[in-house]
Amino acid sequence: MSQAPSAIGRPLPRQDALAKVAGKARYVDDLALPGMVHGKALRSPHPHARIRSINTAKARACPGVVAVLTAQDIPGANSIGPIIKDQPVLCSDVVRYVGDPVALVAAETEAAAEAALARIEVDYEILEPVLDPIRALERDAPAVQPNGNIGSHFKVRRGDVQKAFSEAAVVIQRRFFTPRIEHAYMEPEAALAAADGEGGIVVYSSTQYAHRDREEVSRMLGLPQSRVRVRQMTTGGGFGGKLSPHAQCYAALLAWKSGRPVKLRYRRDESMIASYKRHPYVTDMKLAAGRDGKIVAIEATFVGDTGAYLLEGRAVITKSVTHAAGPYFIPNIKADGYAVYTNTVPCGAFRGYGVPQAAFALESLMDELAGRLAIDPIELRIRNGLDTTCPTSTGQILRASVPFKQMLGRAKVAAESLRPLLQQAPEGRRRAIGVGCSTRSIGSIRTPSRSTAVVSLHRDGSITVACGSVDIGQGSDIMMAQVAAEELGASVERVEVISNDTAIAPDCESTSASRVTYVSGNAVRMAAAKVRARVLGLAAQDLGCAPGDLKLMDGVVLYREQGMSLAQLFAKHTFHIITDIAEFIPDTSPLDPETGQGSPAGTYSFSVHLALVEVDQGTGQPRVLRYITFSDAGRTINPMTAAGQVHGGVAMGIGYALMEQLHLDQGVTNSSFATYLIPTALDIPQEVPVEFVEDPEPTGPFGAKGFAEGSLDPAAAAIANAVSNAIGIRIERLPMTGERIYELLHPPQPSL
Amino acid sequence: MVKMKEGKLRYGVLVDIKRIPEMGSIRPENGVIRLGAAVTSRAIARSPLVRERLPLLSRALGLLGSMQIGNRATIGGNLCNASPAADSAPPLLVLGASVKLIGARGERKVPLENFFLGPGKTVMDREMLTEVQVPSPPSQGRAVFYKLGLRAAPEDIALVSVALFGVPDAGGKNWQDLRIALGALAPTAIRALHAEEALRGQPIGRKSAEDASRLAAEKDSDPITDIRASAKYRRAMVELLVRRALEQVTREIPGASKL
Amino acid sequence: MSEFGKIRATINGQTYDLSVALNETLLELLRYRLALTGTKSGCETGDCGACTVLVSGKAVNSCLVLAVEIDGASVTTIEGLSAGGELHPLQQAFIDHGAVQCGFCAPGIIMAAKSLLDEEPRPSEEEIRTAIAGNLCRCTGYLSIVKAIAAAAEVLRGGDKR
Repeated sequence: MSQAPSAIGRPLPRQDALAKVAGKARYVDDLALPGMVHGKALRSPHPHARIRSINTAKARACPGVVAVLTAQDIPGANSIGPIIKDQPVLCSDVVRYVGDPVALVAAETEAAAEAALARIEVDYEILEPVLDPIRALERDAPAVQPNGNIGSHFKVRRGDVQKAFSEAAVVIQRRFFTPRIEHAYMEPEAALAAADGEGGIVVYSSTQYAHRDREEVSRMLGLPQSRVRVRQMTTGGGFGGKLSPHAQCYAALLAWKSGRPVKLRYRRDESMIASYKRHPYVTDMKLAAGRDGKIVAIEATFVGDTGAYLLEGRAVITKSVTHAAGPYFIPNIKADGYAVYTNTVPCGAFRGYGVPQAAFALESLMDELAGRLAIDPIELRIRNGLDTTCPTSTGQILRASVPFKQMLGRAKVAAESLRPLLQQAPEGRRRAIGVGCSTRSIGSIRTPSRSTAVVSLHRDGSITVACGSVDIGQGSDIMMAQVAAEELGASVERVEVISNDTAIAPDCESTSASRVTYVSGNAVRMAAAKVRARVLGLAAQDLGCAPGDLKLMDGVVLYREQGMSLAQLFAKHTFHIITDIAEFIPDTSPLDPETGQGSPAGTYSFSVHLALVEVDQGTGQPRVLRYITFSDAGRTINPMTAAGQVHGGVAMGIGYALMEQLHLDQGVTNSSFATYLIPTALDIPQEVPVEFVEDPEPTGPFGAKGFAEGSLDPAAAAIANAVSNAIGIRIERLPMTGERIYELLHPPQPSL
Repeated sequence: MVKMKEGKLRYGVLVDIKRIPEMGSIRPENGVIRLGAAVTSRAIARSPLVRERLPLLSRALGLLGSMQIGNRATIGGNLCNASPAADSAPPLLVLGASVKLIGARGERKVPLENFFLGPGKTVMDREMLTEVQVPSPPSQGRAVFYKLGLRAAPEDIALVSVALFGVPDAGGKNWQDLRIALGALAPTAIRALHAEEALRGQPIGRKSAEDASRLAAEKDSDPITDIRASAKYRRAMVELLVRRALEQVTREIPGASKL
Repeated sequence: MSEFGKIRATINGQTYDLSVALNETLLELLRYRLALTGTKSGCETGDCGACTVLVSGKAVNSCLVLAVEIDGASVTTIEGLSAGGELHPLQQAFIDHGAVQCGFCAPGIIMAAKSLLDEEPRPSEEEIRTAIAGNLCRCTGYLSIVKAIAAAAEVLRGGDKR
């Protein structure tokens, strides 16, 4: 009897790849419904103003207009947000950033809707804005929110930091700056909503969390969640940016009030001006170490600019603080994080979620420390690296799947292999290697991460998995199919995965926090295992043996040399389908609010990146020539999707490191891809080798765990360290544009 | 087109001139290469004739934008848009190009140096640019084009661009003729006349190169600060790029001492 | 937007007589009138390349082409690439090399690559990267895409190496 090939570890293409390359995949904007009209939002042109009045009469009279709505037209709650629901769906009294929504229009065409927007008269009383987070913390700063400008404070306390600093052989500290950046998913936000004629509403959505869309639309319309159905369409990227259903609420409100199906899509500039971003940080960090390179203390203060609303600011800042010590054991910790309000475009979730900012600071200081102590940077990291015996920043001891030191060992060899290239720099250019490391908790850490899956085995041996973790391009659907196929001995092609419809798939929380493989993968595996147990139980009855003697393979129950098809077995017991459900919640304990100590995540993933950069000493322009990654996904379920995550994360990291930055005057000023630059194919090194150092996670599905954000987390740090090594000056600010590096190389001459 | 969509430009009537055959052709004629105004930048960059006779122009237009933009952007459009950063302007300026303008009052030929008035402004007065005429440069000339962007990709708008065309004397010791043009360093693309003056007739070497590049930055350039770069950086970069351009052409001149 | 022009164009091999608004873009015509929604709208300013189609064999951003301009021309969109149901080698290579994640950029990049391979059957890696530098992708980091295009070029040349 031949052993079926395992479904785990196979580089299978995603199920929808064929539809996507053929141009047949359906994104929201590809849909049209009979009678459909088009929605548009009117947004504040002021960073801070009081709304005295809104007059919509002229807009209503415009040709083709079917609805003009303001806050008073909202039947339910006028609040929205992914975690903290502190942004109005439509502002009624105060606008807090350039782009805050004020009114909505639906009309027969987009052009008619835009023409009507221009006829809405809003009388604003201009208020003084605060645009800088450090200024926002001053006593006399204008208040962005009624409760003051500190939206959230989270802290970690362990040991005696003061004592450690006073006794340490070496102390180093710096202030680091990271920019506000744009997700730049290629598909802008879009939603299509239509009343279902039975008292409910259907929303077609580009989203990372269909069930939250449902929850927010139901709260806004005052409908039970059961009357709102959200269908996630093929989603053109998210990266954390599609977790707050603004477009969905606007379309739903317009559809509900007008009685017509309404499509609402953001223009690219609207997406860049109005949608939430990555938090810019000012980070003060201080390390103390002994002569042996052992770090004894860290003190860190993260000030994250959350913009006009908190949204996910509290959780993002918590992530930074609880990851302050990174992948290292540091006995004494004092870390504080503040999410600060300003009258700027709000910030929220963005791949990495507070870790890239923290990693840039810590990894820069690690390199500086290595230099001070004349220890090889990788060796220094090995001496301080986490293993299964020492605690993370929050005091959690990871008992398994901590391959960090192995990864560093591999990196040491790889760095040696790059060294000959250093000597080959053309005249006027300097080359150097940089290392960057990180770790991250998998799943949310402020609340337990939870997923529920339903697995059905059909009479013909095919399988349906219903699990509401939406696939936004990263490939979770194929991985869920691989997990179910493995558990039920089926070929992956026979598995159908439904993740995109709230009417079918249970809520599995958001596609974020690198959590789907671990949390939802476990739920799918557990549900499939229950189905398997029931099937084998029935067969064992019939065959008079123990279920443990049986195997399920390709739709056949095998007992020694004989087999019984599922069709036979199901028919005999009058089943058409065997369905079961399971819920997975990682084993965690909450963070103590005073010390920040606890075990908030079921597992952690580690990353080690190496960058070889070349800096043109004349122009200052840097270029990443080689990039090597070591990743930790426990056991890798699908090497193709996993490598795709790494490559995408590294490219995004190159953008974060070298070119990306939103400029703000009153609002975002570089709101196009001609002025907000992201990497092109010419900005990426020729090869980016991807190595997974496998160390299975015992609590993960078939040993797997999440890792995806780790492909971005240390990238900017690795590149910054390489640039610092090339120019001999420590980089403190991202992005490292040619001009910034030029300025470091040519500091202003002191005047005589 | 983008400005029309944004409502920054509005027209009652648009006439598509891309289908007039003469406007879409590249023709050599009596030592002059005639480029129809509607020839796309990519067609010029890839034209075997242009590659052979005007490699400088081919290279600059190859960097004008993405393939998709290059297939749409015309040489006439790039010039009439009169962006200080237009990629076609510096090479055409150093090659001594002229443009043919036709209007109700007749036809005239304007040297490109006299064509631009300011950002978005040209000498055209109810006229249409129909042709760009580029004299074939002397074969002993050496040319170079540098464009500095924020990214490696060619679609980036130039922070600074430099085109240089140098003709050494027979012995390769002195500059017989030398022309330098700068993009994104003044309200229009310009000739760096002070820098040129410091080189013409002078010995090929480090001294003249340093003088010229400093003059290009200090006397010829009048850059602005915007979100892409500061004026200070642009000035420093033009000095560097002019010097590098001189170093590169000097390397290609047989007999000239290396800088 | 009351003025219309009459055009005749061949789109994916089929001849159309169309009445188009004078300010209508080719992108709008394809997506919203002819339901050829495989061509994507990512920025409408010519900066992202998601709307790339071939007009008379040349890759252009359809958001920057007026519909009236295609009078007499032939247009190929992603839907026209696999006419007859069989995938073009580029499409197959994108699947095989994991060059598709969210997929929003894929049709545009495949069309840009098609135009490259029509002109240059043996592109260097640098030529491939330059040809798709006008197409932004935020998911893949481009590496799998470059590999897929190189592999498709090989298949098209007859050496079936996947």
